[in-house]
Amino acid sequence: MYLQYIIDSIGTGSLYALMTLGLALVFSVMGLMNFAYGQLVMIGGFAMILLRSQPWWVLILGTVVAVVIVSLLMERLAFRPVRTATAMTMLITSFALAQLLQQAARVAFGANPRPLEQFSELSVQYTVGDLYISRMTLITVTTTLVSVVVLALLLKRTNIGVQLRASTEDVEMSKLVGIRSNRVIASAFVISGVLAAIVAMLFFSTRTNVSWSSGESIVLIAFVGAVIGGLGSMVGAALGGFLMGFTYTMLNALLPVELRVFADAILYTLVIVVLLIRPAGIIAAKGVRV
Amino acid sequence: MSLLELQGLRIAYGEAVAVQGLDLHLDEGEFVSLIGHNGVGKSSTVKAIAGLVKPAAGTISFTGEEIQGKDPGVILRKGIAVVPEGRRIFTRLTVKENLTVGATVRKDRSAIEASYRSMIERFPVLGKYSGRMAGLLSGGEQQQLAIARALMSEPRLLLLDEPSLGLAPQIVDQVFDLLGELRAQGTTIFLVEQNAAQAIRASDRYYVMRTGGVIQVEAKGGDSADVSAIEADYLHFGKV
Ligand SMILES: Nc1ncnc2c1ncn2[C@@H]1O[C@H](COP(=O)(O)OP(=O)(O)OP(=O)(O)O)[C@@H](O)[C@H]1O
Ligand SMILES: [Mg+2]
Repeated sequence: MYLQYIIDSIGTGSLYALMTLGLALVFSVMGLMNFAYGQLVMIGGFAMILLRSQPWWVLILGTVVAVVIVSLLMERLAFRPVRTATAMTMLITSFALAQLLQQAARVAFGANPRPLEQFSELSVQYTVGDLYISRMTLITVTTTLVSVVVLALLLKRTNIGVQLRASTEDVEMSKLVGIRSNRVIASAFVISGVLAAIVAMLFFSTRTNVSWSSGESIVLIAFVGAVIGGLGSMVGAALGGFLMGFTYTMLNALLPVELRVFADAILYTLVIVVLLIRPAGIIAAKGVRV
Repeated sequence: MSLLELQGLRIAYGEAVAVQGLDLHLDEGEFVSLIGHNGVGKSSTVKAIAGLVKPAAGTISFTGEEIQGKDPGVILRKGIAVVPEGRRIFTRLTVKENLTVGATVRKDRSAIEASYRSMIERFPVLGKYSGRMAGLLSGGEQQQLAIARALMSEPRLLLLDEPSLGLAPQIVDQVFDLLGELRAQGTTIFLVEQNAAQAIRASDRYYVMRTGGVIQVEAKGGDSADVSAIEADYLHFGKV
């Protein structure tokens, strides 16, 4: 019984961890909390609708490419010009961009949610003893693990990864050793875009529609996850996101029916408690500018 | 032609003028020091050469080409590497990663690997802790790492901003020994220091910087009376 809840919660936790990583990566490289990140996921959802009738690999590839292009355009057209401005300016730019993308989606796809035909092959359930594991949960957990490992290898083993981490710690010094910050920041947006596309595919596969406002709740989760995990720390971000998703699903499963409406309230109360105990997050990174 | 030449350099932060009319030059293979007290504009001068601050006026020429106002990456690629004030090693990168990131401007992987090996031969402690987070090194080890990281770009000119700051006297001696060795191997060195006595002893020539950027040039072994006058003046001033 409890084990069943835990399995379901691990699924949600994994998805939230991925959401948080994409946001936290860009934050740690350039101190930008990109609130338009949720709209990247939303755009991924619409790409899925447009590509729904294509073979699965075209759908996956097309969605990733579409989101990465938008992510790169964001960096080039909106964030690069304000890179040396104050954190507040960058923040407001990201809010404006989020609104712009939402309204554009609303004009392009209409005010009503657009239906997304279900992927019946994903709703298969496996039985292990008296536990049920859906194929979607397995895919979500596996994808998250693979993404986290790939991201870790990328950051640890490649030149661009080392340069990314160096820039995260000390931008000025990274310039002094000849790191091209444009390239490094653009790479962060590419990775963030890939993560947003993966999140979109995992998230909307379990939904029946995509709406122009779909990104809002996602970026909130990612933001809170990154903050409680510890801004600037990748491990912290993944952990924070995971805990958000895990706790939320557990609350929904364990609370008596009449109290379930309070699941959000309880979750965010817990968030406040965590931040009171550890204001810099669970895993506080050193020397982070907020 | 001098390797590096500053003419009429003026650096200002908004209204506040940090350096006013600075002239100095370095020849290839020379070890030159710039000494002066807190706040006279030594670090500002280093930052201007390295491209971190744009001078308000004046020129900075390297191998005859004006480089003032260019980006740090461009200046590094021309052959000027910096060991900045406070070392600024990447604490969350390993020692080896700090060194490889120092070679960002170089392309040839196997040549970089060879430099890495010769670097850990020269600095055995860096080899010993190569896989360790650099933030865990002691102050002296971090200073060695900062110097080694700068050398990884194979610079023609090495700028050092107070490398002896915060180090025990023995370690300071080691740092100066190292600079002497580098000099002997042909690296041109521009050292900024408050530790006047040691800097003067180690270098071929030195400049004294006073508030407002006024500079007096003294060649070592030149008019000795004049030199000791400046030293006395400087050291006396330093006691305040
Ligand atoms: N970013 C800045 N903004 C405003 N003023 C600055 C800035 N950096 C330096 N200054 C000022 O410029 C002057 C010169 O500073 P600088 O750091 O170059 O001195 P310094 O000779 O290196 O001193 P120290 O020996 O203490 O390192 C100081 O008065 C300092 O307050
Ligand atoms: Mg200084």
